Amino acid sequence: MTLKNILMTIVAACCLWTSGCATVLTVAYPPVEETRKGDVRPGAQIGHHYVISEEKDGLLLQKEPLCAQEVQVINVKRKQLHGVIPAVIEIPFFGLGIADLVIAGTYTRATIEETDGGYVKGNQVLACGDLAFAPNEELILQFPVSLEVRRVTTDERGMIPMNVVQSFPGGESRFNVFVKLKEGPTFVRTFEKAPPRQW
Amino acid sequence: MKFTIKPIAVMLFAAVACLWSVQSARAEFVLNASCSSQITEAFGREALEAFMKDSGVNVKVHVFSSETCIDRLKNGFSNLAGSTVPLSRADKNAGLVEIPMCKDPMSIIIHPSSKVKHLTLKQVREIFSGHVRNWKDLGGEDLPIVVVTPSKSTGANQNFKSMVMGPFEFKDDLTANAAFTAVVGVKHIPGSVSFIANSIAIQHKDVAVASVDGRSPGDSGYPYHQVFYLVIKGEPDPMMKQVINYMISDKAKQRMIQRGMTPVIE
Repeated sequence: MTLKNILMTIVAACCLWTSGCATVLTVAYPPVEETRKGDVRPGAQIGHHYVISEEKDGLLLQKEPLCAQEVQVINVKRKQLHGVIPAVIEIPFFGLGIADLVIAGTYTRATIEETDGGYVKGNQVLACGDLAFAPNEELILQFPVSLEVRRVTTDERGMIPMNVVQSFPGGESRFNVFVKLKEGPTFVRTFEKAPPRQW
Repeated sequence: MKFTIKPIAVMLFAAVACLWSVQSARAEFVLNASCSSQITEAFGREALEAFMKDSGVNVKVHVFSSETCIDRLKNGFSNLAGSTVPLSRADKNAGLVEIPMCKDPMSIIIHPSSKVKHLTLKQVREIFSGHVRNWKDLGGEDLPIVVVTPSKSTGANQNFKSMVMGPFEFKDDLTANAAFTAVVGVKHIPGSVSFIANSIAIQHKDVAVASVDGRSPGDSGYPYHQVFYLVIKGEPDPMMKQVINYMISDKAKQRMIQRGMTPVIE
């Protein structure tokens, strides 16, 4: 047997050993299918987010469209590493168990297949438009101490005149603002009367 | 080679701590609510389950007295509170905001064996201040009156005192740690009397509800009502707004009406 043959035999043996349990088992097992989340995009409009602010001549109501979040689903097929324990046992005997694990590891990385699984509804909402004036919206002003409720409608600029919100029932210093919608009132915020100026 | 156990224990502890923190980070967000015992009982566990199912928001409810609920919210132990007492000036200055949800009559509850079912305001005050000690003085049987009151920190106690007692002080025989447990006391102790939200009283057919000055809770003109409030700290986030909107929604209003409460936003 020539030296060349001996070397080739050694290399072949090495290849054989390194293609040990871990590699064979990893290749033999079918890939595992899993999903992961991809891009997030706004879906169908579900309502509005209302913002109310105090202006010089009254309260200004604005709204911005809200959309349901849609999340991309990505299907992933991946080989999982198997035969780790036999490969570890190989290490003290042949020293090639490590190479076996490395090769098995390359299979797990090389066999990732990703396909677009479409979009599904997420569990959050996203703003999906610009903030704009909210004209002709019915507001409910609730005074928490007296439980008095006032109803006002915003004008074409989304404004409520100051005189409507300046007269507080006795003992009140705050009111809660709700927008009346088809599906029921929605809370916007609480306003507090400015304390009297100290001189 | 010397092999000590200490480094291994430290490594194991570190590994467990890492795994635990990863697990915690994955857990979904939970809204912590501190709720008065009366509100919890008035709405019932099914209301909370229905809300969680409809909204997908996970809520954990901790039941305390109204006063404790407000303190927990103020100190950051909960995201929102359900209270039966209005906010004080100090609470408002601390950034708390109250949103009234509904009104509920305050009922005077009596052990079912009692023959006395109709009282006057004067008699109610005499009973709860200890000036009348036997049911026979009110036209009933010869049986000592056992006054059961919810503890001072409860909304029921504070509201009853401000609405009914006038200048009189409570003199009780038994103090219930939560408003709801007063019902349990009245149910089991002959001659006992207490007070509770009417929405809770009507769920317990084995206690009698007394009328006051000829009016029963639920009658128009019955003067003693508690207000149930949702309390938040500062501007609510979208999740909190979802809870608020649910509590004033038509679905919640239906539940309130079914249980004898009156929604404050029609």
